[in-house]
Amino acid sequence: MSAILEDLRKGHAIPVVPNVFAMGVDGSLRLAGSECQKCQWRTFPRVKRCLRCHSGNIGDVLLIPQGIVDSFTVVRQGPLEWTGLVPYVLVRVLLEDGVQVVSHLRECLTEDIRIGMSVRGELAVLFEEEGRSVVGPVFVPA
Amino acid sequence: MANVLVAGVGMHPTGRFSDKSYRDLATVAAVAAVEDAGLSWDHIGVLFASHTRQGISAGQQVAHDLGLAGIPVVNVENACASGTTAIHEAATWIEAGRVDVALVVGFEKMPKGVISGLGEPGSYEDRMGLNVMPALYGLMAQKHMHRYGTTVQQMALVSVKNHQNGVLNPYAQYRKAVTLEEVLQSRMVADPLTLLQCCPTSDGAAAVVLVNGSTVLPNPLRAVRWAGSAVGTMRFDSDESEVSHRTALAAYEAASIGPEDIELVECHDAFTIGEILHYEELGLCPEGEGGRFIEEGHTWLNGKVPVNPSGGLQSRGHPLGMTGVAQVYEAVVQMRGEAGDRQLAHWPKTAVTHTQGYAGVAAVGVLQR
Repeated sequence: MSAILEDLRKGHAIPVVPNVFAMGVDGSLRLAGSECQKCQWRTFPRVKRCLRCHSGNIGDVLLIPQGIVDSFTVVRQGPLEWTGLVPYVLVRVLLEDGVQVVSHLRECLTEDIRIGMSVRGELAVLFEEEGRSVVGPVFVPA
Repeated sequence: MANVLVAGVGMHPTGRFSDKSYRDLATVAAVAAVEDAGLSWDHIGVLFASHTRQGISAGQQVAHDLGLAGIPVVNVENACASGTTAIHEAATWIEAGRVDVALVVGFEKMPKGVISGLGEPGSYEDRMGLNVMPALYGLMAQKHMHRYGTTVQQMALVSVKNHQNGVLNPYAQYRKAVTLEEVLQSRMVADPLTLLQCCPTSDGAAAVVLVNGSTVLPNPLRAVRWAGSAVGTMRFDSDESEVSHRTALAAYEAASIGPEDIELVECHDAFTIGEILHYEELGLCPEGEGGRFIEEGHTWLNGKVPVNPSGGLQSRGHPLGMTGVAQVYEAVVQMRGEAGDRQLAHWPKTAVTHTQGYAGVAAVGVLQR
């Protein structure tokens, strides 16, 4: 992951979308989510208003990307822009604080994926775009 | 509130029609529905046009082709639930006394391949390649298999059943039966869903004429009551199943029926696991029992609750804006006893239509005779 961070610093890589991840004080990956300041409901990615209590008082929160696989699938026919990048594995992960995150699963054979398996977040190169690597948060087996 | 009746229905076949525009398709369906109702074009007080990707004011273009100048035209986009939503909204116009007769036309011409253009361009879901409809259902399928022991064979049976039904439907896109082995051995799209468990993208159109119950009709006995309907979206803590279940309960309450009254269902079998989930969400069987419910034969043409006798999205096809309207077409012809080779032996007295779409939308309608 340090090589990716270095590429991000040098501008050789870009985040898949702005403000979707950050590095914690200990240097490990965090997901940039939202926390309602009224009811403390958390979500990822970020929202403008709380879907539970409708409050507009939303703060940023850095989520620890550790949890268990709630479900998974292997995309073998994707959107047009992903045509050359299939197959890829998608997982829905329940983070330890209850937030649900959908992303890619890497470093795991398809036949080894199990609902309930522990995973952790990591930065990975998703694809190349205009000569730069596009980087996003993915999961890998914990 | 006014009693709302479905007085006429019409369809254009579903398939690929490179030589026809969406206006051509919509016009055929609309003319058929109005002629079926036996009403004059002067009676029509509003046109609701259901479509998702035909551009700005497509409904007005269709109205122009139909010669319907001067009446209000409302374009409705609600993803795969657009058609049911359009009928739901048209019914509220009649219930509110705004008009006595509403024409609803659902139509679509779709590009081949996986549905694109979902969600906001440049969003996390878009850029990460998460907006893939088969994958969203793949996630549902894996979870259902894990939690309830549902099998790939049970899911594949949905495709077998609906393709078998579609053989008998002259409006279906694929009028070819498939075997369980063919379904399971077709190429994988999003595990565990194979190609023959994914609905095609299609061109097509369907139309219905809704009327105030006090309207004088030439053939009043052919009218079917639009007894109640509802449209819902996901809550902060729910999923696609929860919104379909909640929306179904709201529609049942509006129609004063319970799941035990249902004798026919046209539901959103865009992917086979969807139909199994909808058995449970619509209350046809207990949660977790959907796989066994089809295996035991309950939803086949001769079962206790036939589901998707039209062939469903799997076989009839899925032009997005058309689907919810085409479901009502099927329910009405079955309830009238006019469904030809696929006519159910027992003409249903109560039918339910259900669509579900991207970003957690669901819509349910109840018809009674």
